[in-house]
Amino acid sequence: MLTKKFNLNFEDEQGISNSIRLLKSEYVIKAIKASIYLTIIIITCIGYILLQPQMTFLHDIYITNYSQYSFKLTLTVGWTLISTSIFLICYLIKYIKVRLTPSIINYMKEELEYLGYAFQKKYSSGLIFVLLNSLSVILMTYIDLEVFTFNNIIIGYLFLSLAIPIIWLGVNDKYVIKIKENFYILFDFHYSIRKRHSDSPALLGITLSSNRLCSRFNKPGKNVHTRICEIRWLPRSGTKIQKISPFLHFNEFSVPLNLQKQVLNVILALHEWDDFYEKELNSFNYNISLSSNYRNLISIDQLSNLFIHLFRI
Amino acid sequence: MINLFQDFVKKYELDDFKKKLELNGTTKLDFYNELNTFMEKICRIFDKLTNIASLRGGQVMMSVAKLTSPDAVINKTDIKNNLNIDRLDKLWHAFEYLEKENYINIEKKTSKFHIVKLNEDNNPDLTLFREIVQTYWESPQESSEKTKDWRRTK
Repeated sequence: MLTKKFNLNFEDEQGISNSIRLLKSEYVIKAIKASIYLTIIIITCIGYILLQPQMTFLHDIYITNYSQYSFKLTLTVGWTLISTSIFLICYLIKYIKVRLTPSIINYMKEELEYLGYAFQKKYSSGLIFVLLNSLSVILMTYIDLEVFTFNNIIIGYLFLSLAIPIIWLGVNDKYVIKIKENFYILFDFHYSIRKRHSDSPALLGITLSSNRLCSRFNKPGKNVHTRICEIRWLPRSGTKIQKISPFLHFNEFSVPLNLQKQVLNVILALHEWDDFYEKELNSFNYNISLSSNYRNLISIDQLSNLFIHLFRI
Repeated sequence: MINLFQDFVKKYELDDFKKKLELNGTTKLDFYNELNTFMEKICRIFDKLTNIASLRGGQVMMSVAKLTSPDAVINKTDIKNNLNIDRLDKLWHAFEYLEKENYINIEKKTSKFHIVKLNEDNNPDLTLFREIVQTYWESPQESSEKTKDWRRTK
């Protein structure tokens, strides 16, 4: 039986097998917990929609001011419940999909701390949701109080206040190491629990991707990116989102055993980018200015020829 | 830029025994640079291959080769530091495997002080391996120092 104090070890076959077993058991517990929460939320949501007309105690929350006017808060309660449920459903689905467990987070922290970097969460979509949604709740309260009426701007804002945190959750809620200002590496975890060969170290994959480097259409940037990728054997395609992204990134695939080495590879690639990009950009601009001067020279030459020709006539 | 060794041979007509190989000035410089690039690439292949294996044996071999010099005494901790690894126990299985397969010799001076040497007597090809690694390979410790220096700038 594996205890919780067991440290992940990917150095030998026995260690790999034990580590994978621990990760699987942790992941199953996590998935069961998340599924229970998910079921409770979905049942609450469906229950609210079906039993809404009968749930008078929710609608009869009155705000009474000094003039003894009273207002129903139907929209506010409904919106708070539905929007929070939708966000939590997305959050829990993502939580189940991301194969992170406490042991692997600890392992990563230790490995990266040894390199001198802190392993931390980049953005909290929950915080963005709370900020945007509190404003929507205030808006709904004003609509309930009949200060405002529904219009396209309010409907648009309500949609965005829910859509932005969900998109943020999908794209940006990841673990990250900050290397220096404007340079960081994002971590994505892949772990298949369905595969039969459970002791394979490659089962747990970690995709590393750097911050945005420059636009995909930036010629000098693309040259430097290609050169560095070739030298450092970095895959050029990247994740599915990066394939359609108009920006360039550095990507690398790692397993726990070679994590430090692969992280160092990406950091050194960023270091080289920092060194070479500006030089390449300067030489590119210099070449352009030279060619434009040359073009100007040609046009002056052509003009003088024209004048000579005119005078001859 | 030449990517294939065959192209390199063709460019300098190394397989044409009727012609003399004449190198002077820039041609000699080009020849040397291209040879150097090939060696760098071979070293990079070593590095990448040793990183995809499930044991750290390959990396340990590279580290021993890098640290080897006529007057150097290399112990296991030197290798651990050179590979930028936090705990020596991460390398136990690699040392065991390499010793069993006769790639390295381990001399146990005391219970904690173990001298490690590349077994070049049984594997003569390791001499060339050592030469390439010493000249072209950047160890994880060196890479780590480089990244630290870069972080401190600006």
